[in-house]
Amino acid sequence: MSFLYENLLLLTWQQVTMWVIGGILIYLAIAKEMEPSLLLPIGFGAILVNMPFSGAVNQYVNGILQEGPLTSLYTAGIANELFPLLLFIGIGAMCDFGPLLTNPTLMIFGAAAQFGIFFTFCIASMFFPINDAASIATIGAADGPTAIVVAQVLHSSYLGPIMVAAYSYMALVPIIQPPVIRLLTTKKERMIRMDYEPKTVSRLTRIIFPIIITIIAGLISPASVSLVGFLMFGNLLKECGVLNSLSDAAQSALANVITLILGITIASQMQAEQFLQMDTLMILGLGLFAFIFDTAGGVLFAKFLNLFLKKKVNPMIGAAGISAFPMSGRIIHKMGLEEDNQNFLLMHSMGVNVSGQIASVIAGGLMMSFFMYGGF
Amino acid sequence: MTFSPENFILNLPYLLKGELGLFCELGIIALSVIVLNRLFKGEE
Repeated sequence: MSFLYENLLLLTWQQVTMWVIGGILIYLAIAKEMEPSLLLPIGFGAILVNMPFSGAVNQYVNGILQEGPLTSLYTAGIANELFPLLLFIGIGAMCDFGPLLTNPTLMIFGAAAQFGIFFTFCIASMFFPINDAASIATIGAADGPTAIVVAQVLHSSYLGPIMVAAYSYMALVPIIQPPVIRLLTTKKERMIRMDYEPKTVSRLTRIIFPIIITIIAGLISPASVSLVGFLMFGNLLKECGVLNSLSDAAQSALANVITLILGITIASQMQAEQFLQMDTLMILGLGLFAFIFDTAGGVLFAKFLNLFLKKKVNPMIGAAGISAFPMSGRIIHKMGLEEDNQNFLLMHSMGVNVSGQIASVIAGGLMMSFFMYGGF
Repeated sequence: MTFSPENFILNLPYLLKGELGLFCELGIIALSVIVLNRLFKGEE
């Protein structure tokens, strides 16, 4: 009868700790509704792979390799960056670049809000090899697929913690951003109203926009072209107007299937012996640092611009220049209304938020360009 | 994990290159959009 309990005796405290972490992620997904489509599969997967000789991942049993389905999925879809890129088609099809196209100058806030990524890279390089430092810094983009692609392309040995941190911080936008914004702005600044003049954008502009972005990104930082290209391909499906069924499929079926597989596959990298290290805590800390400095970079840049502008901008919109779309844009709008119930910042903050989507992908591409080809 | 504080200074140029690269790239995209909006103004 020993077969009933012999595996139980092999259970380690580290594996039990991973069950607790998995449980916390499931709790956050269900009770707090934090990115449930990702945190729930990741949390469940963390429990699944942390059993002694778990059949879900590759194991050597008596010297013989037993292939696990999650390792196979990882090899098929994450090791070659396929899943995150396919997910980008769905994200692109969901994105409405309208607010940005009506006011393209908002693009500069997206660039400013990537400050945290590059600053954190400098900090992380004091502790980690350069490829790992660049991958860890990309967590600050609050863009899971980009973080995965960068970590994978740069052969980071910390893919698991990076993925978990990137997706967790995406979910924590409503908790992390408001205090940073309040700390850096005065009430008077938060009350600045911004006029919005509704303009129409021609269909041709909407169609040409994704093509132009792909060409520009491809010419300036070729390493980013797959990231930008897949995002823009999804957007072109939506805007062309003749492929509505494909656009709908990309937005719902494709995005849902990839998200489902991605979440549980990420968990294959959460085996206790790899995950429970001091390095993981450090990565989580640096990811948070990057995220905070991205927010601060956007706000401070807007304040800097206000020194020269006659018509002031509300500095809070700078914080929306991260990739977490549309969460960040909505939070800025909500914060504006809390200060002044007639202050409608939504269209401006959404414009900055979609520019953050593009900017974070380009920032990831620049990181890859720097360290794949040795600089540009 | 080793602590090498000199790497912070050594890698600061990447902060400048990265932000400069981003501002240039997004600046070009913004200019392209302004041109597109001018060219196709009033078209459906």
